[in-house]
Amino acid sequence: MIARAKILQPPWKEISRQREGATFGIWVFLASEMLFFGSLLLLYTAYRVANPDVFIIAGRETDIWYGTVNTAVLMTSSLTMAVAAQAAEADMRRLTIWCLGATVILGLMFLVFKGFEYAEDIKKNLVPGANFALKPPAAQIFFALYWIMTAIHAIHLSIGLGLVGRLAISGALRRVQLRENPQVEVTALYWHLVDVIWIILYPLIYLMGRS
Amino acid sequence: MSAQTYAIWRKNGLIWLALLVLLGLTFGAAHIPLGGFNVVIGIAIAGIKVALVVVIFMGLGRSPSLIRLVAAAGVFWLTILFVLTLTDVVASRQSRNAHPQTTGEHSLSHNR
Repeated sequence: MIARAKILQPPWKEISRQREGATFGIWVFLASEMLFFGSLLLLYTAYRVANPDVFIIAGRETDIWYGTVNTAVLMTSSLTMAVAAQAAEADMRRLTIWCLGATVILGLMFLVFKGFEYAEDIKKNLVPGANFALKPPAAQIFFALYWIMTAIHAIHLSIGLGLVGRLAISGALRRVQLRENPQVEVTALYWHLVDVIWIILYPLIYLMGRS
Repeated sequence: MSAQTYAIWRKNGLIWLALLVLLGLTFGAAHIPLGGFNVVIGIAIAGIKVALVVVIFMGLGRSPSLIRLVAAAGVFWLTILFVLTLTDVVASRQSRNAHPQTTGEHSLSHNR
C-alpha cells in the first residue's frame, strides 16, 4: 500500500487514471517524434526522387552487415522490453528486472556495433566534406542524411538506455514498485518507437544497390 | 519456468521470430535484381515489421480508442506532410522534364 501511494502522483486520485494519462501523454509524444523523424525521411525521399541513381551508388557504400546485425539486436531488445512490461503487469518482479537488464545490454551492443561502423565509415572517407570518397555531389547528400538520421537515432537510443537502466536499478533496489507503475509502460513504448524508427531506416540506408 | 512466464515468452517470442524471418526475407530480396521493386519490397516488409511491433509489442491492438486515435492522428499528419510536399517535388520534376528551359535552378535535382 505504501508503494502504491508512492506511485500515485498529483493531480491523480487513482492509479488507473494516472496510467491512462501517462499512456495518452507518451503516445502524443511518440506522434510528435514520428513527425520529427518523418521530416527527415521526407527530405531523404525528396532527394532520392531527384537523384535516384546516385542514391543507389552511395547506399552501396554502407556496411550491410553492421546494419543487419544491429536490426536483429534492436528487435531482440524490443522482445525483452515487451516481456519486461508484461511481466511488470503480472507482478513478476524478477523477470521484469532481468528483462530490463537484457534490454540495456542489447541497447549497448547496438551502440558498440554502430561505433565500429562509424569508425569504418570515417576510415573510408564517407563523411561529407572536402575529402569525400565518392564523386557524384548528391552522394554527399545521401551520407549527410545517413549521419544525421543514424546519429539522432543513436541519441534517442541513449536516452532510452538511461530510462530503462534507471528502472532496472531502482526496481532491483526496491526503490520503486514496478507493478502498476506507469513509468514502465511509458519507457517501454519509447523504447519500441526507437526500434520502429530503425526498422524504417534499415531498408532506406542499407538495402540499396545490393542486387 | 512457471506457466505464466512461459505464456509471456511464447506470445512475444513468436512475434520476435516473425520479425527475424522478415529481416531475413528483406535482406535476401535486396540481393535479387528487381529494379524499382527492390525499394517497394524493402518498404513493404519494413511496414509489416513496424505493424507487428506497434500492434503487439506496443499493445496498440488492445489499447482504448483514445490511444488509437492519437496514433492515427500521428499517421494522418505524417501523410499530409508527405503528400503535400511530394506533390510539389514530383510535379516540378515532371514539368522540368516536359519544359527543360522554363524551370529555374531551385529544383532539388540541381544537386545532381
